[in-house]
Amino acid sequence: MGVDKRKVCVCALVASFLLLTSVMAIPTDAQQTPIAQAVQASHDAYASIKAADTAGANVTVPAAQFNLALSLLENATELEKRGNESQAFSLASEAQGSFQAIIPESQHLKDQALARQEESSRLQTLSIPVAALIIAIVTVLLFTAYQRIRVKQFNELRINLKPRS
Amino acid sequence: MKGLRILKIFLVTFLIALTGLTVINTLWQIRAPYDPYFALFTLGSTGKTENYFPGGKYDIYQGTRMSWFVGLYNHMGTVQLVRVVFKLLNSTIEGPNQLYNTPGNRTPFYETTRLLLSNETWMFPVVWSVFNATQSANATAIHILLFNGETFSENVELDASHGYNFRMVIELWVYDQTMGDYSFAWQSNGEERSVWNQIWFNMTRVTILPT
Repeated sequence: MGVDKRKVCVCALVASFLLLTSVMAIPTDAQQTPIAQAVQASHDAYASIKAADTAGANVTVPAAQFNLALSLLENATELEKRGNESQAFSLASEAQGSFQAIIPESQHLKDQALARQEESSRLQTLSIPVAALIIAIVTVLLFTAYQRIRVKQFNELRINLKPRS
Repeated sequence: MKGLRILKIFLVTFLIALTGLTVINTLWQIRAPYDPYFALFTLGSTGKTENYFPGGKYDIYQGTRMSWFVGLYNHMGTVQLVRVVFKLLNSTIEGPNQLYNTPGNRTPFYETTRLLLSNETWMFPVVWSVFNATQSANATAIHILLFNGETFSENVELDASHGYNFRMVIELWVYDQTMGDYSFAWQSNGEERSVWNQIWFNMTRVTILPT
């Protein structure tokens, strides 16, 4: 029975060691490969471009930069598959830098678009009563001018109708 | 009296104009319902829906060079991160299903990703051939593909009974921000949709018989 207990203890120790090493082997964010980090950066950059696009910004420039960075990332992935890890990681880091540079640019474009949108909406809201006011003023002016002409015509008619002495 | 009349005309005209302009503005802002979609197309060597195979013969040999153009049009209304994947299938491996929006049951041997602007069409050339294939009594097996200048052996290995009914499947996968991954199907006006192309070919003989 004593031997069995020892065996159980050894087995438990081995099992806990294996569990511990396997848990430690799970990569955390800091341990991610440059390719995985570049992929994550691409997703963040895409989210920022999409937000700018949805806000109505012209995202042609950041989209072109994104596609250039994507081709770098694709090349890096291909190099990694072929076993050329150092070159692959260097390309992936370059791609990651490009993706990260897109984020503030897109944010700036989004802010500009939102400001433009707000201004245009304010202008639109204001333009309706202003246009109505102009129409009303023009109508009143036309009406008074018409009245003046009619009074003038009536007076002329009265002069013409005066009996000659 | 005259002043009151003018004021009355002014107020009535102002109210009518205000109401009319508001109605016009509201109608202007109501847009026609938008139908978001992607269009994926494969064209032959002449950029038309023909000449997919040299001489129109879809029974190819080892080394027969196919030259296609794959295109994608984004009508989703916003920028989209898309991935076009290529799979080599036969008639027994389950292909993509339009009804259930499920992809072909095989890992792609090649994929390419791109950010597409709204209303942008992306076209890229695809030149491919079977680089290595073997033939047995009742089957042809493809081992290596030459695709856009590169050789692919991973996820290419495939055989077909008597060399009939191989297919090159081209699928569109779209990046889903909520999932954080690429998805074969996407939402369009509350409906799930997907898009894919496939071109069938045979390889009943690996090499041309000497004449």
